[in-house]
Amino acid sequence: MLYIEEEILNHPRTLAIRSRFPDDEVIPCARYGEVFNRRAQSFRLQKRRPSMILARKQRNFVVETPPGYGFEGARNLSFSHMLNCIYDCRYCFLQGMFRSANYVLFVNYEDFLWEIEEKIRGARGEPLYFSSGYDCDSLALEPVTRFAATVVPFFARFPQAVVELRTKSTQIKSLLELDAVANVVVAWSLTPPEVAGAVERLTPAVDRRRRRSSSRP
Amino acid sequence: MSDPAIRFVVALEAEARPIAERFRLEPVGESHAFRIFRGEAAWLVVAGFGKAAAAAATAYLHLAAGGELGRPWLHVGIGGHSRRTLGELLLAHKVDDRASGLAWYPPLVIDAPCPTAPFLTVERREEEYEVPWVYETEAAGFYPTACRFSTAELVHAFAVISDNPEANVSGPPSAPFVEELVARHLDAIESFGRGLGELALEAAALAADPPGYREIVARSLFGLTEQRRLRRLLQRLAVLAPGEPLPPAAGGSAAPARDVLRHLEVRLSRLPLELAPPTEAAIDVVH
Repeated sequence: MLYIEEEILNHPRTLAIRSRFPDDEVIPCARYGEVFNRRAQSFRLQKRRPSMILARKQRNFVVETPPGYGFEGARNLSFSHMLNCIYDCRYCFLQGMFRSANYVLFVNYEDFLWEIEEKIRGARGEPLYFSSGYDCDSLALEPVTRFAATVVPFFARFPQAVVELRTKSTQIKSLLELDAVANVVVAWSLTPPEVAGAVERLTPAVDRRRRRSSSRP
Repeated sequence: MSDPAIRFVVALEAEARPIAERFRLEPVGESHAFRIFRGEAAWLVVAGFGKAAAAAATAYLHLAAGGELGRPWLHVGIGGHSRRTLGELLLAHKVDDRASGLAWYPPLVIDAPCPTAPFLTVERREEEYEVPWVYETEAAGFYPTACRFSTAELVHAFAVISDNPEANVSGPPSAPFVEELVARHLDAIESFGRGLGELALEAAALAADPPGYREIVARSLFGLTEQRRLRRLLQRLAVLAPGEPLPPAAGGSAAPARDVLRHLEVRLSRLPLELAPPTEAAIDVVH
């Protein structure tokens, strides 16, 4: 099922995503919080068949990371265009963070980028490190979200800011269609294959991740 | 889980009869505020008209059936719709209470046996359907109440369309008509209920107490926070050292809770952490 906040029913990104799932029943809602993470929901039961919720993020697009997280000696910030991950790694904190396993995709990338640009310009040349992939995998749903396709060209305009896209995914097609940007870092999680096989459910094999990480356009 | 039985909530006797027959439910003999039926695979309560009655009957059935949490709940009723065909079965993907404006979205994690639709709970039976939703009178009382006793994925509402603009009937539908409408869809209702029952078993297994938990809390006095810590420690022990007996000290009678917890933490800290056994190829590389 595809839940969509009424406010963004006609947002261009909503329409593009809907065109990819023409057979999915669309259920309008006022706010994603009506559907997502309500009391008396079971993350594990919903993980059997997660739905997608398209929403508009209203505030707190970019947050400062806690001390000790991110690149040492630098100002670190993070942003999440999406809540929840399509993978099912047993050790991941996302397993217990939300009561719901549905995916929430915030379609208003423009508002994220606006706030990121404000932070960069406000830093007056101080290097900033942005990370994506705290509440989700940055690339796993790229064919649907086109998140990297939007974010990479944006950061190309601001070489003083670094963005790290954290992922276990092999969905790099949109990256290969772009010129390489020096301040965009794609960071793959690589674990021993035996460990990945045991506890990183639904993820691509480590060897495939490794090969993708060394792909050239 | 000792009793995976489905809990049915219906408003009318006519809705109850075909379900009771299919599931071989017998009336519960003792005097009850609501008429209750019981069988091996299901319980059923006849709530009467309206969402207040549905809410009360749901809570009542929960207690009458033993008060066990995490069971599947199904509301089966009739409703009107501006566009749907008479006799069509629909499953709620949204329950909206017109009076309060509150809304719920039953999460569907198994195949639905029929199309889904939004349900609008109204205070009185209506015959003018302004929006293309199922107009009915109980779901907004049933749904949030049942969710107090289970997880949302196990709570759902069906409606059979008993009225639409083409229907040449005014006034409430007759009992034989209602009974016939529900009877048409017993296969779908039963198979969906069975699916929910399997989900309930899965959820119960996830929520089960870790090995040794009940024995330990029975022997020592644990506060609520300590109980939670004990549960987490025993879950970790079950994962890291499955099948190993509890250390005697941790299970000893009259040991203070904090000593039990400390002993478990020390024991866990000494366990080797092996996420997966190494393959022969990995061993060859090392050597």
